[in-house]
Amino acid sequence: METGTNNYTSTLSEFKHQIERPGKTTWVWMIFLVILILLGIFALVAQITHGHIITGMRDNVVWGIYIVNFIFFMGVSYAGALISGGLQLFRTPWRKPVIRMAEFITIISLLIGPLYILLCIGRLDRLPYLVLFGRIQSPITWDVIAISTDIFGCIIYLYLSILRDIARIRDFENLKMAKWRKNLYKVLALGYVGAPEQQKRLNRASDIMAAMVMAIAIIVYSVLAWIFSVTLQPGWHSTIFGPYFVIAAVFSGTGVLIIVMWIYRKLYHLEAYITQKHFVNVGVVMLVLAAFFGYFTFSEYLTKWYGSEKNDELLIQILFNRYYWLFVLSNYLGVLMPLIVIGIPQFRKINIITITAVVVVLALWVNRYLIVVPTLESPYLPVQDSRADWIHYSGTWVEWVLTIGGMGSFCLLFTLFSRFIPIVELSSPKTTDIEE
Amino acid sequence: METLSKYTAKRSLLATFLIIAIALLNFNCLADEKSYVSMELSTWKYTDNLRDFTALLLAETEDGEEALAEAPVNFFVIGDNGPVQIGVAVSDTTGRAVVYFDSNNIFPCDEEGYISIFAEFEGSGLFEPAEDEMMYKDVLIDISFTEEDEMKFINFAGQIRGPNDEMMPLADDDIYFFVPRMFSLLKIADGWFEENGEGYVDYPTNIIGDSLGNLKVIGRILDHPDYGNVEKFAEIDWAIPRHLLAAETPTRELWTPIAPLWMIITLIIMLAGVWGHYFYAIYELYMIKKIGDKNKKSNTI
Repeated sequence: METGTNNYTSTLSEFKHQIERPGKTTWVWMIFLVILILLGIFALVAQITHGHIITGMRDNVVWGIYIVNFIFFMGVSYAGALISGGLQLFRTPWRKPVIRMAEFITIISLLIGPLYILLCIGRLDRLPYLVLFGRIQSPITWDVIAISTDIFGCIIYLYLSILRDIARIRDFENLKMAKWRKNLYKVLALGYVGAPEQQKRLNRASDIMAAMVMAIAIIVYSVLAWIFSVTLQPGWHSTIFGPYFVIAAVFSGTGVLIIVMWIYRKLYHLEAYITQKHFVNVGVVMLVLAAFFGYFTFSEYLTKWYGSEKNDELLIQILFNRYYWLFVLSNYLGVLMPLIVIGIPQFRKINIITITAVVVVLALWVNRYLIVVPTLESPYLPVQDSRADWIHYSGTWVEWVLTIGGMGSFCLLFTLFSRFIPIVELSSPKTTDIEE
Repeated sequence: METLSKYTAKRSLLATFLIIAIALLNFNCLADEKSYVSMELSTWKYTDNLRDFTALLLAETEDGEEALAEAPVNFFVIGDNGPVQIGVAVSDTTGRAVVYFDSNNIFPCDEEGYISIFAEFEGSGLFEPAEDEMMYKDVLIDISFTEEDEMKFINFAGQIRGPNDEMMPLADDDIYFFVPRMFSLLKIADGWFEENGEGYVDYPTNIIGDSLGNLKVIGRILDHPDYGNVEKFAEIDWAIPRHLLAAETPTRELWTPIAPLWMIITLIIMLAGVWGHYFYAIYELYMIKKIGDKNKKSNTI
């Protein structure tokens, strides 16, 4: 039978108030998030009623903040999958306190990201045509297949990862919660009691799915990159876009993970579980990825600049003039700050690493914006009508409110998930694994 | 001291009144300042004898010239008894106010055959009035096609309508020929009206038409000081028929019925591999449940 029972029982006793009935603060927090989501719904209704004319998107710049949010959330999701899958597969000793957060990030981002694609579509009623008349040779079809496959795989992986804890919560008698919730844990636990055969099968399935979600994360994000790179657009038509997107995704994901670690460490007083070591370890991953990201970015723009192709020159001119400060934030500050902060041991403090993570996440969001918008503002075909508001993109209140609504949904789902299953794995989170 | 402060207060009050008065005066002056508006009148005659008169309104603003929209423009024809209103149109967002007429409606003309059109914008609170006048002669163009010794020609003839409806040859002038392509017109020839009002140009044999070889050939007189813009088109089946070639092997194009074989094979292998593992994981979950049920049953027994 399962070992370490006393260990997880004591841990569950410590975490039980987090999964029991929410307190007043939690309710206030959740109501605040619901208000943000309702604001988003209001903006959505306005968009559906008045059409996309109330967004900043026009004939020339057909993609804006929505697609940036889509790429960002998908990137964060794949990063979560790669990090949690990698930590699980390689039995990284310090993984326990952070792996559950990475798993939550994966699935929640994956649920929210694709919604932004729907917001881009002017004729939602034609959405079924994508399935009814879809062509395999269309990169959009690849994306639909890849994302749906990824969502399904990540749900299985998350379920396998939380199965043990669901069973433990089911068996824990001193929990104050509604009966339906107890019944739900009972159903979801699938009769898992930690029998050797069950453990063996669960470990095997978890390892397989960990490997699968890592592979799929790379494939799916590459497919997303190919949607851009298969088009003959300046700034997009690049052979390194696949790996560049994957690196950027994992880079931003490590940033989000550090931020979530910091928030839950403060919120649930997890100082004993999430230590400076965890921040430094994830920070080192972030440092390596920052170096790779900087290398890819430099390689991408150097070749474009040196090639002196007319439209590439125009794009670089736009990036270094109209978007100068955003470019500096995205490609200089976002790369150099983690290199300096993590690289110099004196700076490796929890708060400094977290601030760096915030900068990285912002920089990576801006990076996606700089990939999407300036390219559409410098097309190969000359723009026939030169009205400034047709050529240049600027997000409207509708797009920003829906962005905030998306962030609110992410936080709300994270809060709900962490109230359903402890944010830290129950099996000996302070030490290495005991069960595998 | 008190006197001094009273004196200062009076002066301050007077200065304030003066400032307000000057400001109000300036404000009124500014409010009276209207933007200058320019008008340019032009005309097009189309194949179906429809003729338009277009007044282009441009207002001078701080940012330069901008199209003046929503401006009502009155159109007049000037006859022996002075101007007679023939229509009203409101300018669109490009600043164009357009009225259409059947060209067979004979407007009064002078002894040389000129018809005078006058357009007027009466102005508004913000914009000055504007007007323009133009004169034109009505022209008829005919286009036909002939073939001689395997050579193909586009023939054209032009006539000018005189004061008493008599027709005179349109001589010594240019005509340009176009064919419609996907995005715009392609110029295929420049023609010249001879003394007798007729002329011809070679028909280029390398033009692609529709699937039956039909082609629309458009002849145009452009921006002529006497005739304005005149267009006439005719259709002929001399073009190279367009064949939508089916690709011999499937390519990446979205309109091909099926994706390339390598793509289908790759996709099947990848999806089968991924979903196979998913089903295996689900099978393991099923087995976990089965073991759990078995344990439960044995415990109950």
